[in-house]
Amino acid sequence: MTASTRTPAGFRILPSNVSAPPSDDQLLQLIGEGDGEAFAAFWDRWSRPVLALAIRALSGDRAAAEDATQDTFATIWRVAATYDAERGAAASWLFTIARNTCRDHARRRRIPPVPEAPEQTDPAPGPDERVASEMEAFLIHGAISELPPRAREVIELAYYGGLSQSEIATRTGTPLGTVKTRTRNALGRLADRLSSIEQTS
Amino acid sequence: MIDHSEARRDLFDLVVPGLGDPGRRSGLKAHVAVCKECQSVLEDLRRLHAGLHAAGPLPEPSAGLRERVLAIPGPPGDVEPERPVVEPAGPPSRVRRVGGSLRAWQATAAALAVAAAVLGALLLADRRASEGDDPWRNGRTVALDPAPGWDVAGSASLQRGPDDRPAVRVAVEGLRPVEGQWYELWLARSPSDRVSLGRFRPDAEGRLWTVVSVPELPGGGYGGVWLTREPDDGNPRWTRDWVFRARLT
Repeated sequence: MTASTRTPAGFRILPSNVSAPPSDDQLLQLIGEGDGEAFAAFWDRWSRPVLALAIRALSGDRAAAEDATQDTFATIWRVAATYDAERGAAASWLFTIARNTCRDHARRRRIPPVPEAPEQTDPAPGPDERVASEMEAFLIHGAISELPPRAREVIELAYYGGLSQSEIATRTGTPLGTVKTRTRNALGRLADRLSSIEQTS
Repeated sequence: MIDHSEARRDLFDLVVPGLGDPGRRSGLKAHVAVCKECQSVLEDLRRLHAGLHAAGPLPEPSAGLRERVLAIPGPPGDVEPERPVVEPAGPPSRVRRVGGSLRAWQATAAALAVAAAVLGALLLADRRASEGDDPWRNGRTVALDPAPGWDVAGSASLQRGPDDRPAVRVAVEGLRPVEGQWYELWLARSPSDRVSLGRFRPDAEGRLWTVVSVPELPGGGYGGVWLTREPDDGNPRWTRDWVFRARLT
């Protein structure tokens, strides 16, 4: 492919000589058949979002979060064959497994759960809103994890490193114009990825 | 005036500080003010921008976690445990010569009977020849090999009881309490060929000590002991969520 392409949401993706990675659905199908390489690829794609979710759900207890992450992926190994793409996006399915695993770990370790029923006057988000917010963060993290390394780098430096576009250019030794192009492309990919998950869910 | 395709391409410039050319911002804004499609896309991009900030940085799993996770045995799959295959004693043409009027199923049954008799004789001869190497009789004891992430210790051994029946003895400590789950002990020849020796729960201290009689299994080679965690769902298949294993023979 030599020409650029446009994604469903209309963002331009520059041509790449890297073949498209397998989708989550494809990976889960392979994992269900016992494919260890697919399991490793799934881990590389989703371990950080799952760990981030677990750290939040387990009140910042890093060791407990790693245990929960390990158990989440052990469950994925075990039940991947039951995943049905017709019933929803793989990311949502994984989110449900990870969240349930974290809840079990919190119960086991007696980590105080997030309050179940806030007072009516409490301006904090309710349980449903909290789940929606956790889900959104999880999906955003998942979409970031799927970005090519250079695209991921600019997003992480901009949003979590607090660097401006010029500072990213200096830090990475990349021309400013290239950094801006990468940022636009990365955001376009993220927008498209999240849009496609929303349509599937 | 910026046209629609240009505006659409550059909408991120209105969201991310320092991304676009300041001189073009007013032109972009003027287009968005009159373009409902761009207004809608811009709203989505602002939501994405806020979501990225709210999600926070992605943590890195610790160095050993990936290795531990990738060491988890794979799913059980749909393959049923291997069973000893009894081959017909001779080619079908020979069977037909002996009993030409037999129907196909009768011929097969006869062949299986002959084969079973031959196999039984072979197994008996083999057992007699190797009785001195009988691992069950020798009572070998081995240390347990814990799964990644498990801090269990103990031993397993093969025994023969007074009635000469083989048995597996397992003593382990460090098991986590299980709610809605069981620990299940397996005697295995390979990960896909195993026999359940029963389900257990450890005591309050996380210890399990048991001696389980095991059936005489055809073909031999069932020398591995595994403990797995299993959900209490009545499904007889194993999860491969293993806790320890031990090679006894």
